[in-house]
Amino acid sequence: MKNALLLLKANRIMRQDILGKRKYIFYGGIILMFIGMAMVFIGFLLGKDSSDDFGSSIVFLIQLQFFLIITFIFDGFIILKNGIGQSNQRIEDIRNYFFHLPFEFSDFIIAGLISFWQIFLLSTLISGVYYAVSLFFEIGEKNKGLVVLASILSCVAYVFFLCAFLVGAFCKKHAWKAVNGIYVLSFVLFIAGIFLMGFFEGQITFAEKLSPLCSPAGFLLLLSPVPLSALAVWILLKVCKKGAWYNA
Amino acid sequence: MDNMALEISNLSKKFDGFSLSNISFKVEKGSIMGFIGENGAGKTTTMKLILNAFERDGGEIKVFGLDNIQNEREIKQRIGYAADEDCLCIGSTLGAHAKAYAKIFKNWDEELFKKYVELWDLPLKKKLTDFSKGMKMKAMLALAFARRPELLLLDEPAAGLDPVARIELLDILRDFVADGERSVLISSHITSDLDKAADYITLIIDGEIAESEPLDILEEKYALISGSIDDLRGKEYELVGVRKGEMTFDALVLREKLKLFPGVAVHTPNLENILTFSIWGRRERRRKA
Repeated sequence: MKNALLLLKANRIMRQDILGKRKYIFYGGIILMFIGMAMVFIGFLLGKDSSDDFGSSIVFLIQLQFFLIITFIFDGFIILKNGIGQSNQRIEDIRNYFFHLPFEFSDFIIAGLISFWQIFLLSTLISGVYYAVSLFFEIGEKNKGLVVLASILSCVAYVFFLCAFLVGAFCKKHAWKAVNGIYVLSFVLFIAGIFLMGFFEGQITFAEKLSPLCSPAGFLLLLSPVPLSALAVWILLKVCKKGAWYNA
Repeated sequence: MDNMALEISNLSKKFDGFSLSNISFKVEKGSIMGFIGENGAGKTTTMKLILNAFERDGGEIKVFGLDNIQNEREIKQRIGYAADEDCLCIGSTLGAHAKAYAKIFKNWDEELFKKYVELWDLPLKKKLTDFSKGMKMKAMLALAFARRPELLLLDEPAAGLDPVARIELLDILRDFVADGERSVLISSHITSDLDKAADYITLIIDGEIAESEPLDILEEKYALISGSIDDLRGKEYELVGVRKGEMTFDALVLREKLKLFPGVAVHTPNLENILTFSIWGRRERRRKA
């Protein structure tokens, strides 16, 4: 674990390089999120109806940030491709940067998964904070069933993320198309959850529609990838312990 | 074993259209091993196998007596590496690399790093994409030396370096191994550099080790001969390699076989002669086969 964290530090340089100009979108997203947070609390202080105005804004911004983070974590995913064997110039650059540094392949797998856990933890944290706030202000008490349904879809999406790692680790060279397919499918499922809520616009609040993670069930389901990904780490380590940096 | 920094035995690796076969050689502590061969002979692949960048098909690699796969982290902490390809994140700066390396490498020496940065006048805040090829190599060398490694793997470090930096590098390498504990494996096409600096030479041709000897023994083992084409009649197969003109020839031959060529002029070969004639001889034998 210590080595994986060191690897993440080493990865900062590569991340900056990979992000390139996208870093402005990423940092812009963070700034927007904090502006949103500030807006909602100012709204509360001014006594506005948070569920329709400022609450909607913050949830929208949280979701925006979530997708920005996903974009950002694409880079973590690119790094994980290292173990899957896809070859292109960027992957070559990443390998050339890392292979002589004092890390084993297993550190790479753990570091990749830690970077994904960051999403889960961040989303959970944001959702948890918002959920606590929404409970306090009695937001989102209608159509809990739909919220749970969307949450389940979101969690299925997470599970697919993890399946992608497993398939990649087991099949190495020839798994990339399958991994890409699963990755896309997971996004489709996640977005389907959001759109499903859209069909019921008017019955639920805008905040609920945009935030399937803000229900109690969603919050609990959100935690489910943690033990699952721990299992994934264990399997990946078994499979990849002796892996080389290039699958030539 | 304790005196060995690197020990490679029967290493093999197959790629499409190329293979390394039964690679075996050793690098003693306190020595510089020159690793020579033509492009595509397998020098870089061997170095990457030492770093477990590729999965080997067979054989054994021991670094400081430890298996290179079982002890990958520990070994890489003790190895410095610089190569004639981008092993740095070129969108970043040298300063950022040094900052990251300081956290990663236990023996990182910031003062030593600064010393090389000053010596080679390297900018810390400029993006590596804006570095020339020679500057990138100097940056990699500065990062490699500052790790305070016990074994340096240098893959074509002289490529792109100006003559002054090349001479400085040779001096640094001599100082580096002077304590008898640290070693260098260096591949280079500039054999005159290795003539000056290397203690041992390993010659690799078409993925096979042709020679691995102390440099002085290697130079004593062979003789460079020249004479009339008539002197070769019926004895060409005794040569390591030959280059023929219309009337005359130059050839590399084992000294023990000199008596077969009376009347020819005999010279002491340099490393370049040994390398080139060995490759020409191998090609000729392959063509005839």
